[in-house]
Amino acid sequence: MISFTDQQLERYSRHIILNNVGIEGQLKIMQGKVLIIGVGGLGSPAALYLAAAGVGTIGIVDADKVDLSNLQRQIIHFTSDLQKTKTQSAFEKMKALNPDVHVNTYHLRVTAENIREIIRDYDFVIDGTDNFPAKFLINDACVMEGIPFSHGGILRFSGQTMTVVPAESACYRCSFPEPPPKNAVPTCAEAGILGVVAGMLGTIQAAEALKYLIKQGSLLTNALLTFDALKMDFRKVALRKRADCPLCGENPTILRLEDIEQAVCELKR
Amino acid sequence: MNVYQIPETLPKEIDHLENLIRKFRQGTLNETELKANRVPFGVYEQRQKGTYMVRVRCPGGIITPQQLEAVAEISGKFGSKNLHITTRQEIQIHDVDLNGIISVIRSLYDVGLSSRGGGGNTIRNIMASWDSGIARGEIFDVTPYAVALTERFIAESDSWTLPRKFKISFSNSKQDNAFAAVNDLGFIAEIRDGKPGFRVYVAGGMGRSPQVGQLLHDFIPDDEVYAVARAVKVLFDKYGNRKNRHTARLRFLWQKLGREKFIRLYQKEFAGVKNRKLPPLKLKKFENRARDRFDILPAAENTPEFELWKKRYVRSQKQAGLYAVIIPIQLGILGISEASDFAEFAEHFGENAIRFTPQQNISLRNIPEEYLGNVYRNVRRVTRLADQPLLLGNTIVCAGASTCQLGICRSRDALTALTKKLTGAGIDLDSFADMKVNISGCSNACGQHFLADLGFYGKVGRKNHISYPAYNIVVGAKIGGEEGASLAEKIDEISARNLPEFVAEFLAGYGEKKDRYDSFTSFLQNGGAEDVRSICQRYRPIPDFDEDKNYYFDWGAREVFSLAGRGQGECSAGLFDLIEMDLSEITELKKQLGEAAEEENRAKILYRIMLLASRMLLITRGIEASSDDEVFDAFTRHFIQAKLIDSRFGSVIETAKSGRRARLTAIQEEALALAEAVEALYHSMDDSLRFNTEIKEEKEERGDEATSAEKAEKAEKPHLIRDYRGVSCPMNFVKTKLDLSMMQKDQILEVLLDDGSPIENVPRSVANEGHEVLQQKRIGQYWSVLIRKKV
Amino acid sequence: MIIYVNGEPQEIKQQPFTVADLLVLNQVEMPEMVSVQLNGEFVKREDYQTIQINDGDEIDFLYFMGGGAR
Repeated sequence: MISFTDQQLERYSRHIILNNVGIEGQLKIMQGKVLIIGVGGLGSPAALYLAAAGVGTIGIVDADKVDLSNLQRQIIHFTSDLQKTKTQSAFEKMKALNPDVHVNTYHLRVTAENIREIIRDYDFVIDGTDNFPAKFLINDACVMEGIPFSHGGILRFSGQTMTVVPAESACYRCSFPEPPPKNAVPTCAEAGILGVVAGMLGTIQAAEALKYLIKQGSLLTNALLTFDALKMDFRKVALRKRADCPLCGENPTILRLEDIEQAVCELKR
Repeated sequence: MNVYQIPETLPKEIDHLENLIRKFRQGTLNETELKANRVPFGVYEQRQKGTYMVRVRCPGGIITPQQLEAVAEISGKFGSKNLHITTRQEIQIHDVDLNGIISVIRSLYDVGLSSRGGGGNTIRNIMASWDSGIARGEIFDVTPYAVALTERFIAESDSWTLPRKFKISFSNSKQDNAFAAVNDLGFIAEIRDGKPGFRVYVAGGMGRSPQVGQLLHDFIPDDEVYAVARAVKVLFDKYGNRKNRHTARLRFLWQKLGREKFIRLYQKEFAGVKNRKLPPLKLKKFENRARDRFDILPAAENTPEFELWKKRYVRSQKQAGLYAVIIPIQLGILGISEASDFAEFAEHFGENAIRFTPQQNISLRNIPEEYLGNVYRNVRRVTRLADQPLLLGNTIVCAGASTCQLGICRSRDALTALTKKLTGAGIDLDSFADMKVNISGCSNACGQHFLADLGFYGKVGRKNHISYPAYNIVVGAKIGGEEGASLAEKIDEISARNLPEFVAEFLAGYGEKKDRYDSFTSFLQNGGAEDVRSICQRYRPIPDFDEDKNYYFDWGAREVFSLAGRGQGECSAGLFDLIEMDLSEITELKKQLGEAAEEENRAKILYRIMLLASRMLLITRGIEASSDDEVFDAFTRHFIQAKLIDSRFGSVIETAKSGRRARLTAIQEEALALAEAVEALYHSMDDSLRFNTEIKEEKEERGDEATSAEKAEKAEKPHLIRDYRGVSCPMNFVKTKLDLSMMQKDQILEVLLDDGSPIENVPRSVANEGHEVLQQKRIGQYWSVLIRKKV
Repeated sequence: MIIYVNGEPQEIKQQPFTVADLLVLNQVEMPEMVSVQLNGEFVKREDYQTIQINDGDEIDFLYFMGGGAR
């Protein structure tokens, strides 16, 4: 049975008056469960927008503490949060923004061991991590568990994102079969980032999550959206699900999860 | 010197507004509530959200040089680089942000100025002849009355909560250059039996249904000014229409009550006020004389430009040896540094030296002849129009569609184009110095086209389904004089593109014959009107879109002209033009139908009638169809399925749409009946584009058998009744959606909604989502809406 | 011949012309950080030397972007 308090009705009124959302859509949002892995540059805006939207349950995963260098782009964390765990800092902001939202915090790093357990409880996963091993791990785990997710990556002034609906659309490995060799990854010094680019991308990811929950429009599947904020060029490259994908192809070679060795960066993140 | 005394309650009211703004910023007060308090304070939000305009009260257009300097300084600190002089002789500070509003109002207060009553349903700035006190031939100086009445009224709390705005004006002679005859209440000076007094007009006004003022008193002695004004105010307060702002002005009350009843009710109030023996207005004198000492030396000027300028802009005062000048300010826009320079200069001529004129210009008075050279030099620094003919300096133009939400045409840009055309046309513009050419962007008359000799107001033209900007031409306003006022009347129309050529040709033609007529009016009556029509006739067929796209771009616009995207309802003025255009074509076609013998021809005419009938009201639903089929489909959906038009017409529409036009002659009567039904619906439409037709009743009268099923359906009890009176937009719609989501398909929901935007928006939004709006019924001050859940 | 690289037309004079040649020509500094699509099909890394590019072909470089900016 539908139950909206008057306050909820007012809070979500600008959703409800949208023809494509309406009462039904808002209910789906309020019953939805989204997991955000990494509450950094991408996860910050995603967590805030999803909380604002009233997503019923939001999980946030992060093993780090808030560092001064984070604040240039990780807008969910404030100067007063330095040295707090990111999950605690984000939890406080999300609850303050919208007390309706149930927030699960996971102060840990996702690993081959724990990830499948964690994601299983959610409808949709947002990848807001900052490294390839995690990105491949999330892709593999979501495909294995059949949970749709949004991949996201940013570099300097650019960002890219794709949405994967396992078994239906191309996965990350269909285009990037293996992680890049350790030594080939740009050094941290090269990998600076314009703060707003993180916000732009994280917001797109949140939009995908909401669209998935309300089943409206079309998701960013079988396509890689890349943009260059310097020129403000946006481009969607069509992707195909590959029959010979090592993960989701007809004869998969990756049958179980494995942790990939992390490229170590000497610089303080 | 302060021009008027500000009531002691103002600082408290400012504190209150400050408090509301704080709450708004903190998010505990919504925008509507703030607006309700800020607008009566003369603070309007501009087109750009979060920036505001503050309108400063200047009774009779008076501001002291010191005050003007302060206003310029305040604008520099909190607002924009430009001030704006209005047609009500006020001055406006623009681009103030939310945080600056209070600072502006307090700073104004410090120099004896107030913005209270600058907007909203209040006593607006009280006007007075700009040349009052100095004009040769004036009856007497009316300035003291405008100022004293201002002081009295701004201290009365009921001045801020009237049904609609209330405009008062005083003219110093029958010339009526303060337009007393088109204000809600107008006083024109007269002396009878040696006693000063006024002829009083009431219920005049411009806007969409203009009316010249009606005579209220042939003569009142001057000590009754307050009693008259007070009585009219109370009458308006008591009986004005608060429900519908479109019919709220005093003139609508006059129309509703009729002369006799209006006067009777007024006399009652008037007697009541007089009985209370309230003190008459406290008049103070505004001295007009040269200052005793000047600390500048006269500047000698003897250039031909100076002589020409004197002819154009300098008038001798009734005080011997003194002169007044008009300083034309383009579009009323005055830069703050210019304002500041000018104000400093004006101090040489005393505190009573400055007036704003209704032509959005400045006038400087009490200038000894030997100082005119100094004035000329200063004027040239203040305005670019100093060496232009008066015709251009006196032209009034509204903001137009470039910045105004209501605008249809870009009137300012049209004036720019016109000015360019005229200055290069080799016409002696100085011979038209007494002529008034005014331009409004739409029929709301902010450009005062009804007061012009030659006026224009924006409209939408349409050729082959494509809209283009155009202007209605009005001519021959008569303000002042013995026979009473009359407004300019529509005579023809012209595309925006051709407006400059039209004016140039017309003036050139008039210039040649000018000497043969004693006035513009007599020229118009003796062939001038035909001249207008014949010029328009030549410009009539405008090129197709593909031939010359220029006609489809408004002056200064970068995009093809379109009404789409303008606020629905707000631009209703333009919508009415479009509808009327289709309607008059239908009337014409009906005539042709009677004369047409051939079957094929008749079918063609009938088809066109049906197309126009289906199209003419689509625009009220925000639809601009681009093909015939789209027209028929949209009409079916929004008028037949929405039950505004009888469903029996569905089959005629189908026939028309099917392309088998030949069949239309067989059902000619149905086709014509459809056109009539649409016309009837149009006539039942109010200013807010709502239809009051109750199809059900019409059907019952006819006793039509075929509709009995529908009747039964209509009689169905609503499954759920909800009262959303007092719930504002869009929450009322949100709640309605919630209710619908809990119901079964085909169940009926009844919602009660307030008048105004709720009834305008909610049913439309519900219908957009695919539900069926069965009925909208007015019950007193609110509405009942029946909705059948469909999806 | 004219080919389209990331949607932009590019004139190629060289014949024959492989994916590897294109990476060199376009000065892709770290080919390891790029996935290549030829006319919408994924190209395996080991085929870069052998697969030829023809007139009108559309080539997309997909770059690894690992940051989430933690």
